[in-house]
Parts: sequence; C-alpha cells; structure tokens
Amino acid sequence: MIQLIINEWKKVFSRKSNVIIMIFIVGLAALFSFMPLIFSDEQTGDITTNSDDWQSEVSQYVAQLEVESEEIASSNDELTFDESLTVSMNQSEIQRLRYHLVEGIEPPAANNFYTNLVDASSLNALIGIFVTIIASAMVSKEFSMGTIKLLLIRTQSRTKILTSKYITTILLAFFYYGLLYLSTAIFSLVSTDINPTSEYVFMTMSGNYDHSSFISYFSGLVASNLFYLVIIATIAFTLSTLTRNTSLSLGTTLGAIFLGAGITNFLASKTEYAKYLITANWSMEKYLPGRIVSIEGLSLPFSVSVNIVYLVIFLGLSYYFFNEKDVL
Amino acid sequence: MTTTIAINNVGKTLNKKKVIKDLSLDVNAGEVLGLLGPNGAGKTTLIRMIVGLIEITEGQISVCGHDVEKEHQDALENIGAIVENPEMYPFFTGQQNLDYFRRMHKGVSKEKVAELVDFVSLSDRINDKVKDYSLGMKQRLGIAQALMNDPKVLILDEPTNGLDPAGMRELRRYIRMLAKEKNVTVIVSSHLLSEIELMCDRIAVIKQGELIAVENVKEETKERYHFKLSDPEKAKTLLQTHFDIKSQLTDDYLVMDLPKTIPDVSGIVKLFVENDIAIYSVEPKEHSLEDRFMHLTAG
Repeated sequence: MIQLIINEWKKVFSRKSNVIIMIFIVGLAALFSFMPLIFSDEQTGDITTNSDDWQSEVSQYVAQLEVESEEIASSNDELTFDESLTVSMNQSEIQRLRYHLVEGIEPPAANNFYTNLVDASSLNALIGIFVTIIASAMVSKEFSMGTIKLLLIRTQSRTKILTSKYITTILLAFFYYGLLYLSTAIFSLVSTDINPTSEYVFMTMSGNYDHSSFISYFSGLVASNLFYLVIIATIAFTLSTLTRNTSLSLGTTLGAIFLGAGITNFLASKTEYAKYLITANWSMEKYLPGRIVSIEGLSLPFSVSVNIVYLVIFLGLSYYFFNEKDVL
Repeated sequence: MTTTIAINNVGKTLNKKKVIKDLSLDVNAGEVLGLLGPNGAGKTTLIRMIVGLIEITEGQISVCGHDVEKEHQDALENIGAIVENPEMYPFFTGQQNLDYFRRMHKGVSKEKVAELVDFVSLSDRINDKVKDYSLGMKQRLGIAQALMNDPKVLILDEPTNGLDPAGMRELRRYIRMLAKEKNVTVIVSSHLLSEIELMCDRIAVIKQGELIAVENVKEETKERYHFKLSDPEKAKTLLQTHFDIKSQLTDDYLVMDLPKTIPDVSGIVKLFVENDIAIYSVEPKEHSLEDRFMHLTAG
C-alpha cells in the first residue's frame, strides 16, 4: 500500500500544476504577511509594550485617546469625515484596550503574530480550490491517459488502488495547508510582533470582546479548516471517479464552493431542511467562539455528524463505481 | 500439454449489444495464439475479459486454473499484458514508468528491470520522457512492462502497430523464444494476418464476436497451384487417380493444393506432359491462409 501511495505522490509531483500551486501558496503567504507592513498608516494605535508596567502605559494611552476625541467633539459644530472617523476609531480602540485592562491581558501590537495566523485561514478557501484541481484529476486523468488499464491489470485490487489515490489526495490537501501555515508562520516571525501573552483577544460578532487561549482557539480553527478540505477533496474525488471526466468534476466542485453559501442561505430562508445540505455544514469555523451561526438548528455535533454521513456516502459511491464499472 | 487459458462459452453484452457470442477456446502452455479479425470484431473485448478489465456477461475464463473473476488476483499474477495501446505516463521517463510498475509488484528487483530494458533495446533512451518516444519505442516499453512479473501468459494487443520491419522481426524472434524456452503462453491480436502469421502456432479467427475458425499455421501453409491446361477435365481425373489430389475447376484454371507428401510440383507437370496435356501456365499461389482469412471474414 505504501508503495502505491509513493507512486501516486510521484505522479502528482511530476505535474506542472502542482508546482504552480506550491509557488502560489508560498507567494500568497508572503503577500499576506508583508502587506500590513507596506500599507500600514504610521503605526495607528500602536503602543510600545513594556511588560513591566504595561497597565499604566495603556491607561495613559486610553486617557490620551479620550482627550483627543473630546477635543474634536467640542471644537467644531459639524465634524468632517476624517474627524468622525478618528472619533469612532478611537472609540473602538478605547473599548478594546479597556477590555485588556479589565481582563489583565497585555495588549499585543496592532500587527501581531496571532492575528496574522488566524487571518491566514481566510486563504483556506483558496487551498480548497487547489485541492479540487488535484483531486478532480486523480482518477479521471488515468482514464483520459489510458493508463488505468495498466494499473488495473496488476495483482493489486481495485479497492487498494482507489484507497491509495484517496489517501494521497487527503495527504496532499494537508500538505498544501501545512505549506500555507508554515510559510505564513515563517514570514510572520519577520513581519509581525510576537504577542506578549498566550491569550488571544478577539471581537465577537455582537461587537463585544472576548478572549481564549490562543492554542485552543487556533486548534479549533485548524481542525475546522482541515475538515473542510477533506470534504472538498472527497467531493471532487468522488465526482472524478464517477464521471471519469476531469473538467466536469472540477467545474462542479468549484461551483459548489462558490455558490454553495449563497444557495444554502437562500434555501434556508425557504425551508428548514436546508440545514441538511453539505454546503450548510462543511465550513465549521462558524462554531469558533465569537462567531455567529446564521442558519437555525445547526450545532457543532450536528454538523460533524452530517458531514461524516456525506463523506461515507461519497466514498461508498466512489468505491462501488470504481469496482463495478467496466474499463473500456 | 497443459491448458493455461480456458475460455468457456463466453459472452459479453455491452450497451444491450452482444459483442462476444458463446466463444470457447483453449490455449496451451508454450503456444503462441494469434487472434485475428477485422477491426471491431471483438478481439480487444475478449482480451479485456481475460485480464478482468470488464465483466464477463456469460461463461467463464480461467488462467492457470484460476477463474479471472472469482480469483482475480491469483489469475492476474500469471498475466502480463498490453491492452489496446501501450499507454504509459508521458510525463515520466521510461525508467520512471518501469520503476512505477515495479512498485506495484512484489519482489521485482531493480536488476530485473535493467535486464528488461536491455532486452527490449531501450537502454539508450530509457531516461528520456515517454512523450518523446516513437510508437515503436512505446510498444517496446509496453512489452518490458508486461514481462515485469515473469508471466506465464503474455497478452499483446496489436503489438505490431507502429513497429518497423526490423522491430517486427525482433518481436517475432522474442515471442518465439519466450514460448519455446520459458514455456510462456502468448496471445497476440492483429487485424493483419501477414504480421502475425510467422510468429503464431495457431490462429483463431474472430468475426462479429464469434469464433469462426481456428487454423493450425504450420499445417495450413499448403502450397496452392493454378494450372492453365488444354484439357483440364482430363487433368482433374489424372490427379485424382495418380496422386489422390482433389482439385477444382475455376474459370479456366485448375486449382489444386499440393499435399505435404509430394515435395514439389514437377511430378505433376511430368504426369500432364506424359498424358499429352498442354501446359500454358503454372502459377504458385501462396498465402492460402490469407485467402482463407479473407474468405472467412468477408461479407
């Protein structure tokens, strides 16, 4: 079996698309990490953190912001756009820093390591697209090249061959994700300030602040991202096995990725059965603390169960058709 | 002689159309069997069933005593094959392709692969990408791939496609050697008799999914002569009485097959001359097997 996976892995890595994807991932991670440095407007709300006496420093800074806001409010009758923007930004900054003061968590720099890592997960949808490109070619390419015949006249069973292909697809999805995070982390070490504490403070969807340990928050994020990639990869892989057509499975899966959320929300407004759709459940980031679940009746255990049921159905179809259908 | 491939009353229905009808055939160890038939006759379909790529609708096929459907792995352990075209991974080099297939078999050494490369004379180009290979080179790489597991049964679908005359001779020599020295059963398919006639012991003719004849190559290459004579009726009786040869009159010619018992045609010419029959022409007609093939598959 390991030999078969090595074979599949070698095939993927001799393809040009794979090289382009890897360059893309590293490039995007670099862009993502260095962008804030290029576009940051002279250190807004930046406090030189000094771990000995950060509390008084932050208090001072908060007072300074309050004074500034009051001055603007009292000096003019009508505020210019810039002024009102400053006031509202000061307001949210004051709110954030007060939360830090109340909870006793030292605030990180504006451009900090944790935030960068958490924000990089927004690139996961892109990884999903890359995984789709590879997964949708996994089985169908063998048919279009005609090499499937040479694979199936070996003493290896069809089930084993399909399993090696599926494992390779999943490993590759994890590899791309790992590459994204490894390069983001390396670039961020250079481009961002390391956080002073292990606590991660975030704004909730209702506008308040909350905090949790960064490790547990980040683990939840990674787990939901990886689960999402497994689902995307499995859908593309199944379509590739069933249709034996790379473009068809690629197009269908990408369509589901792009239109899935919209269609789900539309259907959710019409019927409560929309919550059983895979597109309503495949992204589980919504169960992270501070985020909102927009569709009624969804919960983490529910989504996990629905996703697993879908995975089992997809793989069942894959194996059934790969084993039963004639190879012409 | 032991039977290595037993095809019993096999039928195949594809898209509600019967493409193979009640076909039975046994092939022995060390025998080279040619599958001959026009394009679309069902040769490749039959081969696909033997290697288990497609389901057998009716009947049963066993290879070295293993049912190809029920004991798929055991049967395939004994088979090496090229089905249809020798499609390899174009982005791999020849060597990478062979290494790839080596990993799919148990206990095939790197030395064995090097031996095979040498054997199919690809040593010079083995590190080039397959997409730069000619059809003949791909064919040879395909043969190397098929021999990887030292099969008892070698199945080559249209192996002469894309081979030049030298390559064809090489292939012929090689197939004969495998059959004779290693006792390998070889099935080669072709739509051209001339290309496989010289390498086969027997030729099975398939037409529209049916086995219509199995010809023994060695015996069937009889020499046929066309005589143009002054008195063909008399000559016909003479042949019957003196040599026990049955002949026919077609158009102006007297047509006869020279039996193996008579070394050449001179004795017959002498007989005619002695009986005052004027001989205008004697034409040897070779490839009687080909005539038969054309006759069998025509219409």
